[in-house]
Amino acid sequence: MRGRGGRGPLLAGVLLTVVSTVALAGACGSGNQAGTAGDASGTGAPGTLAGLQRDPPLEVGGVQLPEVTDGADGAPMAMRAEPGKLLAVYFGYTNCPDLCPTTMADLKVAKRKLGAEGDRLDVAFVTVDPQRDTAELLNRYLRSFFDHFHVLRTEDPGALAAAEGPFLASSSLTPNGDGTYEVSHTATTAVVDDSGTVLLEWPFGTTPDVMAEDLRILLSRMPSPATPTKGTNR
Amino acid sequence: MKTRQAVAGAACVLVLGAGVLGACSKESSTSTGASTTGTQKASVTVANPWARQSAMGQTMGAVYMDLTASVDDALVGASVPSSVAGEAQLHETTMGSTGSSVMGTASSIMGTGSSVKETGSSMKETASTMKETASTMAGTKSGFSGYPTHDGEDDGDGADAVATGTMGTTMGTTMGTTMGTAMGGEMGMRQVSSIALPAGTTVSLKPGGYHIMLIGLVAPLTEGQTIEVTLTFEKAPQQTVTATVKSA
Repeated sequence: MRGRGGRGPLLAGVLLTVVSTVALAGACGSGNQAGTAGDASGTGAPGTLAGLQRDPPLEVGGVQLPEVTDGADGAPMAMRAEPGKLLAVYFGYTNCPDLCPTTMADLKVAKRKLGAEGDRLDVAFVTVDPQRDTAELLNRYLRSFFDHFHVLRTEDPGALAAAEGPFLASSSLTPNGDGTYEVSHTATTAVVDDSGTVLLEWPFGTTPDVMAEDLRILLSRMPSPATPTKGTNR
Repeated sequence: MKTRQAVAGAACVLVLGAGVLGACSKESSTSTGASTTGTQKASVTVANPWARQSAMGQTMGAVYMDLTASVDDALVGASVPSSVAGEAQLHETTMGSTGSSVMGTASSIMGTGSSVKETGSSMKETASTMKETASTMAGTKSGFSGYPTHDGEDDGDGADAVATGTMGTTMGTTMGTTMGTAMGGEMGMRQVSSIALPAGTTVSLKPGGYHIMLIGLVAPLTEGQTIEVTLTFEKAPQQTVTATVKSA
């Protein structure tokens, strides 16, 4: 599809574009969060997860990073959800103008769409830019999106890389030569269960509608925290 | 323009599609000549200018909009009042080192008219390939710091913003590679000196693609606030548009 020349065969053009946009959103993860959400969730079969699932799934429960959420004081936090909940893990930074706030806003909207069930999704934000992202700044940033969240921060590049590894994520800082630097990072959101298994991954651009539908499906498969099965959760 | 509403609707969708392509792969410039409309006066129509509400502590912002030029043109600059931000720059969010490969697969998906569901199963089928690719990428992370789309400046040629794609050579890229790129690859940003606006094509500045980056926000951008953004084009006259700050 080109953007150009779509005016003649209007309907055909629109249909093709919808299809390609939706396909792209799934394929390359750069879909817009604005308009295609309904299309995407509408055309997907009910009960089908749209996020990426790996076989075998990634196991990240062994990853631990210092949690600097207000009140947590740097205690290590393992990358697994609380019992009966899901944990969305994202690697980003607060000076990020485009990807990070888009994803955080999308997660916020997805949680809202779930109503009370939305509380069963926690969000963990791992900074890839600890030099600029102080604990205080990170807390203020995340509070703009969520009432409840986890902020993870290490100043040890090795520890960060070790944490990214099991997610197959990575990040890098590239000096601009003028004292500033550019940050690049994996912009995928990983959804982790309470055993530390990554159930699915949402590429950047996954719409809030798609996220919400995926969460509905995943949560419906899990015992709710109201009926805890403590013995089976670690 | 008699079918304005329909066209607008189509454009809205087209924008998304085109924007996605742009975001993934820097849309090829090979098509821009064909739709030139001859002696028309240069003008650019701007639709849906918006910015996202900034989070506390966020010092960078982004303004998005849809641009449609009457003749081949380029957005070459943008500015905002100093009361909003210290500086505005044209930026593009890019995939990592193999970002251009996404285009090839995207095209092949389109060609088969695949739906999300089908894409989903394809994703599963190629999961192992993807994992390998992603692992490789994760293992070579230091190599990413020098990837070509991340080094900053264009040379100033108006067509460059979209001319950097190597679509022809990457059309055959496999799904596995692409998915590895999408899932495991890093995304970064680069400043661009211009954003090409082929005649009659709506170019979307959107999350994950081109945006006008606001550097050094003076105050948080709050929902409902408006920002005057002055756009400078290669040919069309400069114009100021009002971007609305939205919460999501």
